[in-house]
Amino acid sequence: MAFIAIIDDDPDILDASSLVLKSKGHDVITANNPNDGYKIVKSKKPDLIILDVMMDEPDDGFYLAQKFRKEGITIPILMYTSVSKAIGLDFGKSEMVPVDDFVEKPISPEELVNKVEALLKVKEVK
Amino acid sequence: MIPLIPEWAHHYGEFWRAIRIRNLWFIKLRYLAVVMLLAFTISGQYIFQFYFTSNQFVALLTISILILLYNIVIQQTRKYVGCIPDKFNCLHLSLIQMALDLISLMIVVYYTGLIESPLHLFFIFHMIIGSLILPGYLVYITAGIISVLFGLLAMLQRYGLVEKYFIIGLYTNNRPQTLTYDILFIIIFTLMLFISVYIANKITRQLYKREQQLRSTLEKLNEAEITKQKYIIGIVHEVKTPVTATHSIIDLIINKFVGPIDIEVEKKLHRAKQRTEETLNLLNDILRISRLKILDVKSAEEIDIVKLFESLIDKQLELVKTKSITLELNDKRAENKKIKADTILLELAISNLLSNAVKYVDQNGIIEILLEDRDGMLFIEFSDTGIGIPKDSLPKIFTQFFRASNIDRSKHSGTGMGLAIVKEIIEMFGGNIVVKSPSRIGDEQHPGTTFEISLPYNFKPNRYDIFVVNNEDYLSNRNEF
Repeated sequence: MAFIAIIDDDPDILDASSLVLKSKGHDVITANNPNDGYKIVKSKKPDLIILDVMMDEPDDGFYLAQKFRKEGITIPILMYTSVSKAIGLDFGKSEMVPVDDFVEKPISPEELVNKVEALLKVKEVK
Repeated sequence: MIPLIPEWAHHYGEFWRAIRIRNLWFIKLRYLAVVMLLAFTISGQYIFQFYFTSNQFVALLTISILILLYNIVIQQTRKYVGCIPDKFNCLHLSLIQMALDLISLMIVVYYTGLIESPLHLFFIFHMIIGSLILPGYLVYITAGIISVLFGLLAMLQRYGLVEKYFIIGLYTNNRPQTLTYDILFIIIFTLMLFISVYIANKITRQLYKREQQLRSTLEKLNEAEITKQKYIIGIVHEVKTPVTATHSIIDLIINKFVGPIDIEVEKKLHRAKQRTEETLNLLNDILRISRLKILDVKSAEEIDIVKLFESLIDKQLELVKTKSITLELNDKRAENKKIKADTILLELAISNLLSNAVKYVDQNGIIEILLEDRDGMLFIEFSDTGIGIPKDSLPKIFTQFFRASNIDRSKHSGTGMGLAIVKEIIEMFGGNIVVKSPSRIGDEQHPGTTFEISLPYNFKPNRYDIFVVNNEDYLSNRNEF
């Protein structure tokens, strides 16, 4: 199965996401801040990155995603957001936000699994 | 171009608006002046025995016609003169008008006897008007020129160096009067001019200063509001984080990721999950309204309102079918005119109203949406046969966190923020929303609610910002100014 990196500063979210993904047979590695997140992605080369948009600073997740893309890392990124998309004013998939999909918090296990599988499938096709 | 404008007024819409309105006002006044001058000349000649010399008579008629002609030219050019500080603008036009007027007045006064002319009082009137719109130094210079010219002409006239034009019919004894009288007159006249300019200038400056203070206070207020909303957003996010985590953990347990659980425990967990969801909905609504308040709508796109309604109705279709609701969309307008607004925000407002209607309508209920043109605005009437709103709740229905007294809270969950958001958005686009209950289609058992929304077709971002001058806007609405 796949090797997934989860970067989020909330230990409960890390725990919950790991549990769900591990139950589906994936290997999971976690980091609770952008710096460690960057390091594990660089050294371990996961198949998928799950990234929280807000960590110490409101845009930490975006900056990290941009940093990955600038350095030519094309690993798919799934972003956790806690901002309601209903209002749609915050972000969409674009140059500014170089991520592949969003999961809105609170995370439902089913949605997480579905989105992860979908992104991994796209990666395989590529 | 001469910089006539005070620095602060460069982008101050009201200043320019005032100048333009005054320009138009002067033009109208000048037509009146022409009529009065002609009446003075002709009635003086033929009714009151002023005994004008032929030179005087011709000069006064000629100057009347000249004033009329340049007034027509100014009126025509005025329409094409904008409010751009660095170019030829309406303030320059004011200056030209004033110069022409003063020259004409000087000629008229000269031909009616200068010191002895009853018309010299108009100089003071001009000085006051000039002080209202032109920078102080210019008006003082003008007052100086007038005094010197006036005094010089009076002296030259006295010693016969220029032609005398007294209105013979006005006096009983010989003119000119004594030299002392002339000198005293010139001194007082000069003083009058300068005092008028000084006082008028001072009052105007004070008024402008007040306006400036008002302006900075308003800006500070806006800033404070934004700071407040940002603070709210920050706190709500902080609160949301642990609630979100709690929700995720409960979800994990319910979905048996941690291991098997007792059925009774599962029931309680479902309840706990529902309560955290309610909290999250409330927090999201607060976030939404705070974001709306700090949002500066800069762009407006053209929206096909019928299509927007149809797509939003589609999203509710499942619920509409299970409740057997009759939902009608009726466009009574002659043509499907596009409306200018922000799609996402308008969608948010309308979907809020629609889901409210669907939520509070019973089995077999009716929802009717009417689109009409009223007073050049888009008029949307949104009626249902739902539970309605009690009279005492009506005035508070758009208030944040308010929920009507007849809502069965165990049956209909909600945060009481939906309608506050709707109102915020509608007003953001220059529109208006009113609520009526019972609705137009309601009956005794199902009183229902009607929402009436009027929205301008041509929403212009920043319409209410009086401090921004928009040259294009002024030129396209030139007839109003």
